[in-house]
Amino acid sequence: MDIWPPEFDDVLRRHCRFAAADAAIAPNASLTELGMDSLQVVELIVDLEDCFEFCIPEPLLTPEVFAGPATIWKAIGPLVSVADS
Amino acid sequence: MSSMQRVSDVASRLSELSRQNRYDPYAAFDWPDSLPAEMYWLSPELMTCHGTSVWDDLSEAARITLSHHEAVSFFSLNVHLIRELIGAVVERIYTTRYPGLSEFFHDFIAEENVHAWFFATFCRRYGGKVYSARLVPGQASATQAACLRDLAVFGRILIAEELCDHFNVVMAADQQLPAICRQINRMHHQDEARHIAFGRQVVRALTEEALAEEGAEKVHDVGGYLARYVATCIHSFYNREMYSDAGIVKPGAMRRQLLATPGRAAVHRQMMGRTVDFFSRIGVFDATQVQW
Repeated sequence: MDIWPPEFDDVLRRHCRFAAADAAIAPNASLTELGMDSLQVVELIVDLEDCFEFCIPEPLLTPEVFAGPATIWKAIGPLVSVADS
Repeated sequence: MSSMQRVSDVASRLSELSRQNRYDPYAAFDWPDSLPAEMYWLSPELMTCHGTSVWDDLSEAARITLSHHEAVSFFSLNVHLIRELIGAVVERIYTTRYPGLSEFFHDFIAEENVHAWFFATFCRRYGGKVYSARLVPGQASATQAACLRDLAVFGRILIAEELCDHFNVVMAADQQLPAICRQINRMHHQDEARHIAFGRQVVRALTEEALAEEGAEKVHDVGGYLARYVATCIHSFYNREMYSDAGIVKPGAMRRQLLATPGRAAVHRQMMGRTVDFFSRIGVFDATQVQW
């Protein structure tokens, strides 16, 4: 079972230089391991907000949340569901 | 004379100018209780949708309303850029790498503190808030050599200052805007002229140092990063929350539509052309590396 929707996967792949196109993104990899630096994290935040038409609350803009794909989705997934409903 | 000695001499002269031109920010501005709702607060040609089909589809009243939010967003962006650059300079004052620059750094920090205050005052008074920065704090890389890290840091500062200065120059002279908007932009431009003069000197010196100590390949890596920073900075003007506040129903979709409009890339090139030419002349990055 996928742990996040394809839209999230698409946004992640646009910013993960080291993610292989034919392999799943490791949920617990760090963003650094996936090839992102601080600028790409900024672009990722903005891309996620555009894609899901919501605003990531400032308290979630932390290194703990933006540690890796799984922690990001865990934090924003419930907010995206609310925004979509 | 070494490059860093030249920077130090320039910084001393700029410090003198700074102290001659010091003003009391708390007395310099006559803040009206409110700004005219029927006036633009940001010059139309600087707005993110100018020259696009979105602009054509907006009524004049809607354009003016959006300009209010774009002004607050632009000044908020300045606040966050200043937070970053004050932090970077504070980390370097009284360090062994910059022994001749501490006096200038004091003046720089003092002036930037004032700038952040008047930008934030505008935002809070007329927009009710300072828009938040869309970044995760505490992600600076400490793995590079000091000269490369400093080139990245002072390069970022210079890019941000020159981008904002482009806006300041246009708005300081724009009679369509309320007087307080023109005044803020004029005063910021006057101080920034000194900071930009210093920035170009220090970035040139750091490039020479990095080329000598670390080689062209590593300098080009920093250049690639700075070229991406140019795009990130420009894209941050397309603030999703700002569009939402202006009543745009799908602000994220509009942001993406505007950034994909071919004519906007030409506007971005024009905004940053002189800055990118400077980085190209000193061999750090060129316009072909920027995703306009």
